[in-house]
Amino acid sequence: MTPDSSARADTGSDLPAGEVRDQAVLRSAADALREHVDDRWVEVADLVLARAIAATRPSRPVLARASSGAFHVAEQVLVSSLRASIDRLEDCEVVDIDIQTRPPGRAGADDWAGEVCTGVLIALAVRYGTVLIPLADQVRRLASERIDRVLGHVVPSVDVSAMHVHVADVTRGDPKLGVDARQR
Amino acid sequence: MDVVPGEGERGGLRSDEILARRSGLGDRLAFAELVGRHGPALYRYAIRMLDGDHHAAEDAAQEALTKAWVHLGTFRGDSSAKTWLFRLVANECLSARRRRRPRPVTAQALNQVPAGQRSAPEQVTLAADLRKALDVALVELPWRQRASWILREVEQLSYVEIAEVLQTTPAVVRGQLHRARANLATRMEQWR
Repeated sequence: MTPDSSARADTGSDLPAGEVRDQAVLRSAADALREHVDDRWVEVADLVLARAIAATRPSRPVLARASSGAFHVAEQVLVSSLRASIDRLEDCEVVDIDIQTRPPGRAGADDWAGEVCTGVLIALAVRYGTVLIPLADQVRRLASERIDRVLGHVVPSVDVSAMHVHVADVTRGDPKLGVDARQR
Repeated sequence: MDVVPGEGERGGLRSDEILARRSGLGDRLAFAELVGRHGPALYRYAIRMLDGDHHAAEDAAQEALTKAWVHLGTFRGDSSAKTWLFRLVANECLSARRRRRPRPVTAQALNQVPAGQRSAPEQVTLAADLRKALDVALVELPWRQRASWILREVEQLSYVEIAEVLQTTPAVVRGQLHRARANLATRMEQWR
């Protein structure tokens, strides 16, 4: 029996002893590296994150109205605000929000910039067993209130009936935690 | 975009996909959670791909995470959020490497990596020495071998995921990994 074949018998591996030891060293080194957090990252992480989220996303302007006149709101602001509003409901998670708009109908002081919001499509994931119609009504009400708050009294107003609550997923666990969490 | 009250108030451990989706819908705390979860690994990858240059690694991480935040609204989950983030960082590292001049390899680096002193406190010292030795050995690997080895052995991505990050095929990844392991074994011989 050669030293290598002896090592194969000892380790239960088909590899020569040298390679087995090499693999063990590399595995230990990889483990050590995986558990290590670079000091520099700890120092700069907050700054890197702050700079990243300060970046502006490309976004359509949506027509809004205040007592002082018309102005526009970035679509992303409206999406973010709607998501935060609906987030307060239990047993559902917002999957997607699509702001439906039409181009300004005429040139004029009240229609100077941005597209006019005509409706909102909200896709939800809901927990299995949730009664959908009352939930959909709650989502419509919250969305309508939030649109009024963010866009003001837009003419024509966003028709609540234009909003559509679409159930995109049904989960057995909390839909706010996602697939990975359900499997844990 | 303003920070909206009520963001990220939910307790519990949320999946990457949920965090990415919520980030896409403007939830900054969800994005912070995603970065907190993967940021250390992304930086660990960047600094080793950029030969220990902290400034370059920080810039690469910054650019990648800024792009991630800007484009998460269009992220559709075709790959996992982790793979997507690594791909952004890998692209930034590659761009940074192309921009800078090659660094000469020192005679010291070409020697085999010395084994660590096995004295007390044994485990902590040994792990730190082993990690430093690995860092020296990794610098000597060609770019694709280094990237493939780190993503597989340290970050534990699958061959398919590594291929997505490096924009190549799983077969190429397999070949690069085989060569990387052989090269690293030679470089780390003193540690057997």
